[in-house]
Amino acid sequence: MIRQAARGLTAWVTAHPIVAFIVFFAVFPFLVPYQSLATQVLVFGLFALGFNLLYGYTGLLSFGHAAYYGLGAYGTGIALAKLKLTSLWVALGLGFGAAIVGGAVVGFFCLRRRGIYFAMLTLAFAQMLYFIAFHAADLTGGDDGLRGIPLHPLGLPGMSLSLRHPLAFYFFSYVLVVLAVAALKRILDSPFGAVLQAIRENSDRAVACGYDINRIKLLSFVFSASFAGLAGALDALRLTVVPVDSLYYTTSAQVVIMTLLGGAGTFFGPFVGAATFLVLADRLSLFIESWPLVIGVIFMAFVLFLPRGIWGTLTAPEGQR
Amino acid sequence: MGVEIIIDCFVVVVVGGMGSLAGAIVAGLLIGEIVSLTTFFAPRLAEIVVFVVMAVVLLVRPSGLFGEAGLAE
Repeated sequence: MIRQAARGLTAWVTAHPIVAFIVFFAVFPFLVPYQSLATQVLVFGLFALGFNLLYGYTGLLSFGHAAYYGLGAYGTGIALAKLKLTSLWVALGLGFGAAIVGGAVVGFFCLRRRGIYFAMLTLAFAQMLYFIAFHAADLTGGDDGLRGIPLHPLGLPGMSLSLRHPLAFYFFSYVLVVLAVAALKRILDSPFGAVLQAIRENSDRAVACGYDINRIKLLSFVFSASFAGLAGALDALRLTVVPVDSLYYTTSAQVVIMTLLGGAGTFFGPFVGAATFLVLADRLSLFIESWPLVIGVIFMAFVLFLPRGIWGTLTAPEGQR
Repeated sequence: MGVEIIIDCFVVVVVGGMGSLAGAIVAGLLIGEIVSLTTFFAPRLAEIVVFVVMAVVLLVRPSGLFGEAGLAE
């Protein structure tokens, strides 16, 4: 009975992903212990969503997604703290743009190689950016992180909205993330999205079908980087500080863990993974100091026994768990 | 706790070429020398140079210095 209800629910969610997303995340901040955590889940969910487009749908494992997240964060942070811009929209746009440009440049080089070499190249570029940010302390604040990002009121047509209240900021992120999720849905449902999955399943065959897979992979890489960049830009506003660690490879590893935990190649997997990871981390850190150990064990158990991840297992066809 | 060395090991293996013992030894010495020399002459670049070397090697010689083509792709 419960199982059937769960099946029905997941089937409905899979059929109406955008509506389900809007409804669930409208009440989500009231389900978690504090609202800033809900915003964090949204931001990291968006980041994982972008990673999933590249890894889960195109089959390219990037180990340097922190680069685009960090570019988004630093782009927005530098626009507000160093260039003294007062429009949040322009600052967000700059962060977003920085991530797109970064993704296009890094993707252009990395996509010449495949498999583990591709992963290592993306890591190499991300680590280079990290050390550049680390040493360019005048611009980025170096090891201290970029501090003093002012959270200006958000300019909307005819009014301006203060985002200082956590709930106001949550719903601002919510609107942007809903738009991003809708955009991703549109990308995946288009013929382009079908080609991405064809590349994942059999890239030689996609070539034989006449697709210019290098261009399509690059486009997928740039889309993925832009989602990560938007997440980074939002996180810079959420924290009003950009820690230099947001470019470090641990951030890249975190997004890989979230995506695999939730289920790579499923639409909501990244969000489920990000929510599980962050809420668990938040709750566990109250009880034990070594909470990463517990999350690591849970993650290993999933990889070994439920490789489809949480959402992937819930939505898998009967008998294929 | 040793996370830094994991990345360096990975870089050495990839630069030397997957599956090549001689490659790992040569690349290990090479990367070690490069890092030490840059630490001496241009300390700020020391941490970046490892990744620059790896990126250049992979872009010029996709399978590493001593690796066989087609492995691990």
